[in-house]
Amino acid sequence: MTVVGYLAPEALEEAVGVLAAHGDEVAVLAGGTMLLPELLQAGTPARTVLDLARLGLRGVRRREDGATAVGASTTYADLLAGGEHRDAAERLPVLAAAAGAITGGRAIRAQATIGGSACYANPSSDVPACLVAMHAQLRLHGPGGVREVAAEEFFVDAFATAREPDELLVEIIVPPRPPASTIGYRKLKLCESSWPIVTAAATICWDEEGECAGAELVVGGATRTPIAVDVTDLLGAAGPGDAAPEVARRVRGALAAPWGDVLADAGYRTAVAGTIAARALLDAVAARRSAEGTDRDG
Amino acid sequence: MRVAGGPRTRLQRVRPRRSSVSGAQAADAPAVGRSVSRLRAADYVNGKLRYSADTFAAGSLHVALARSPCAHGELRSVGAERAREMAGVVAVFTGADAARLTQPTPHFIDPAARGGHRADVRCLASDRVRYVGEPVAAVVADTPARARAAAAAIVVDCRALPAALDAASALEPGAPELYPGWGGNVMLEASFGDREVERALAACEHRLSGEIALHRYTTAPMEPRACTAEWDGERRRMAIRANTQNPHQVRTMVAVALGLSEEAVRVVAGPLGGAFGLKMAGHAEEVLVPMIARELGRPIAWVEDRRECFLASGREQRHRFEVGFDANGLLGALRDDIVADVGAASAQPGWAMANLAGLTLPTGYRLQACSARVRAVVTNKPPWIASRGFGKEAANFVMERVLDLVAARLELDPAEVRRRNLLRRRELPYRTATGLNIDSGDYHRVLESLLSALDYEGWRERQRDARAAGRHLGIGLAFELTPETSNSLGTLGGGWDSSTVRLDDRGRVQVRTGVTNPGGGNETGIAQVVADELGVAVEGIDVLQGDTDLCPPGFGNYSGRGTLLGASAAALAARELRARLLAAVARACAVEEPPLRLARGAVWGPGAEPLMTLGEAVRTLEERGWIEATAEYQPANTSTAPDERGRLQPYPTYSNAVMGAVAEVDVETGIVSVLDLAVCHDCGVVINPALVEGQMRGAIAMGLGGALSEQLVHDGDGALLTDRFKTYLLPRAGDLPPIRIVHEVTPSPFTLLGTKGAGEAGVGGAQAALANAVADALAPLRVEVLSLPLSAPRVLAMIDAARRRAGAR
Repeated sequence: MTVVGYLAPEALEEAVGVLAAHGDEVAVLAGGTMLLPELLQAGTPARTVLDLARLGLRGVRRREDGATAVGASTTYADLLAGGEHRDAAERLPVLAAAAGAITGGRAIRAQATIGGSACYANPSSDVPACLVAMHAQLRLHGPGGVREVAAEEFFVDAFATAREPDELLVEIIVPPRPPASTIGYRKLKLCESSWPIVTAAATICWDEEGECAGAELVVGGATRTPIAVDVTDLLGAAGPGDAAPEVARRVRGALAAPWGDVLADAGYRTAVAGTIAARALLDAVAARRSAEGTDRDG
Repeated sequence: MRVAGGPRTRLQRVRPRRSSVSGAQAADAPAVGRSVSRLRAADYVNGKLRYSADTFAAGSLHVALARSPCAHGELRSVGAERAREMAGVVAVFTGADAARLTQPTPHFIDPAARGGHRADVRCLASDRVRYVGEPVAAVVADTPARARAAAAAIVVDCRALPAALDAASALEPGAPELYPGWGGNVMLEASFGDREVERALAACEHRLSGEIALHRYTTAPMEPRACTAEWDGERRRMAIRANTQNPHQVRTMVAVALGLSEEAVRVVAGPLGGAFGLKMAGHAEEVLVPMIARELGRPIAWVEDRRECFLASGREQRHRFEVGFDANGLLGALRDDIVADVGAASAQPGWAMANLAGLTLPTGYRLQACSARVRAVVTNKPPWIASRGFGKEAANFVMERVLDLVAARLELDPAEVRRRNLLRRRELPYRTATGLNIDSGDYHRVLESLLSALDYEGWRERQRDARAAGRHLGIGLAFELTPETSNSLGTLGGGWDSSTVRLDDRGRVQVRTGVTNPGGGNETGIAQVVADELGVAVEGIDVLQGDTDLCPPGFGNYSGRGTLLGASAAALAARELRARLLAAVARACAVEEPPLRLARGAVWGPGAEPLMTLGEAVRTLEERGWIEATAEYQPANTSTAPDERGRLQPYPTYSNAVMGAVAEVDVETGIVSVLDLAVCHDCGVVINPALVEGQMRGAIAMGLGGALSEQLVHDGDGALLTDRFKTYLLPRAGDLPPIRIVHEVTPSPFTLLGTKGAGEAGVGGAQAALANAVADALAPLRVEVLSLPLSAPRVLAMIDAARRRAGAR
């Protein structure tokens, strides 16, 4: 272990001060699911660990403006749990769908954090694309105060974010869900232990006549940063099933800066991204139908 | 005493069953055949077992290795100046030290004894490195972390040489020569089978040819390797503790490499948290750690990390085959040209798996016109380690894929093609073209039993419905023959093993045996056999394994030998004790011996009360309070002398199985889902069904993991890219269907208890059944399935290739 110091401040200002003073020599510890294995390797530069555990950044709360604030240290398990977070799944359905299918079982879901995953910015992780799909704002604390960055601007490259070295991610602000919206979430993995290869979050807003008023797909894993594709015009009169090939084509066309790694190269990710996105979209359509069914039955 | 062969009629009748009997009845019911709970099972599940890394001597120094950054190069210098000055560092050893302090490590299986080339293997490389990750220096420090930090500070200066990163390029004219003087990179070339195969092929009505490519993967045990050593300078004795499968072979290797007598070396093998061949003897650290212990006079400890464990690799090979057959699907001839990429040379026996890929052909099929040429080719990748299946899984894969290709060509049911070609019970024992003498079995019964267990016809109906609905569902069958318990010359192993049984005057039984336990539970199987021989409860029997000072000579575990040899030798030793006890009791009680028997810890005559307890009987024999006997056992049906055609017969037993797999392919993503898997297995008499089934489930999981997602990938410079469990993908429970196992029992006529090796079977069968299922699922798209793994990106690429071919037509 190449750790030369350990700090667990209770005040945000103190934590930000540590970052400002030591910058790159500090390793920020949230859940530690990525950091600890890295620190255990020989040859990594010696670093001081700044543990966020005592900053009180864990939890989901409803803000007065109707938005939902997700503390940076909130775990996947928190999102899925009952208690004070019990309506989190309802207000953050995309993130909840992703959290429920996180690889690694309870041990990882109870340890890994939403904020940690966002800052790690692994293209193969669920969280970046989910945050873009939810139009989230990421709230950063730095020596100069607080700023908010939109998710689509936060993820600037693979493993790179808009967070400055002296800033801490403290909260993720998710605007209220549009009324009468449905979602679909799909994740392609090679097997249970695999990172996601491609993720797709579909959000459809329905008008009062039950027609599609807006449809957006956000695809993760296929490119260096998540991409958003508007497919509203494709969910027209032809019916969603017939739209699938065109949806897939449009998504494939949008995949600039493809991403690949040893699990799956860019060619494979590009080949399947459209299919996965189209399936997510059909799930969102089906969710509307089942909601209608419930209404009628009710 | 060494006894050969001979089945035992009483045990032949034992059928595996899961019955629980209680009370007085339990005491008399045989333990063999029951799913007795494992001895020390609670220690395993409660974390109470002490593994090798839990048992460092106080004051141990810790070793970390600096490794080659270069796939092939001249080692110009190893810069250790900075490392030596770092905190806690006690010493640094390099290849020059290893050359000075050791002799070459003997090979577990010597390629030179089989007409190939033997490399000079030392524990640290000097002069030349041959793969990324080859140990070049060892740092010794007061803590593992400091040793690792200092190892990272070692500067390895290589002059890069052109590298041969795969077998094809290593075979090209002008390829870089890894071992000067070999005249090429072929470590061993061997030919098996019928030399007239070309004529037979030419005479066949139909012929089919192709190339099957199997990939590189590993056995990934949960517990990585570990080794500790302590040198007693006064008594000049070396004490080694290692999580090895073969303590006696480690003893031999260390003794030779360090110039000690075997008696001066004690090796204790701790419990194993998985091994699967990876922990067979012959690793560099097994010599390195004792070498350092002797030099420094301090206890030395080394524990492998996960990334190092992934350097162990195996199985990568290509088979260029041609098969001839008639219009009924009867096989007429098979030629297979096998090129195995065995990586760099090593003392570990892994390289020899290449031989078995040829020798095992044509498995259990009636085909005398069969020939295999095997070339084990060295490359600039890490050496092969022995891997469960030991090459036999590759032969089974090739054979079963070929059978399905024949069936597809003739539009015959794959089950029917197997029926027409599998040997019949009455044809066994059967000498194959390659020289194996298959002992016994009823392959047709096993096949029919599997078809019924799988609901083959039902799945065929569901497949028709699925296809009509546009889904791609396939059913795959595979027969699997697993030669077990090898006996061949030129190795540090043997075809026999030994056990000692001791009975004391309190009626306690201890078994010490030369076979070790890979974690699968052979100690329990051995105890069950001894319990029946001596009429005692299984639970009270103490089985001691893995200590070269305390256990009789033997060879550890590999090749499905542990229970077969260990339990048979223990049965013989126990019978000797029983004979002595009964004679003594007959004398002491002045009764006739014949009706006397041992049961419930006592000696019984015809009466309702026992004559005396076992402990009392022991005291009539020995004042000291215990009696013991040691027996060696070797099965019949092997031959180390070549026959008139130069063929050897190294395997006494041949367990066999038929697998059935059902898979669905998502043709838009290439994802393969395994919907169903069933197996019918025949390993002769089953001592403990739960243990056999546990082995079978594990082997199937290993086979399916290898077939679907496990793969070692190197970059263009030969560095390993898949060195953690997020890049090397093991299957998890959710990836596997429930596995259904049924048994047939055909006792071996050549073994004492009628048992056959069990433990390796399942890897090749599962892979072949799955590949056949995927090929069947994709048959409407005319997809060729000739390589593994069937990972989603590769399957999608196969589908695309088929579509391009279709488009081109």
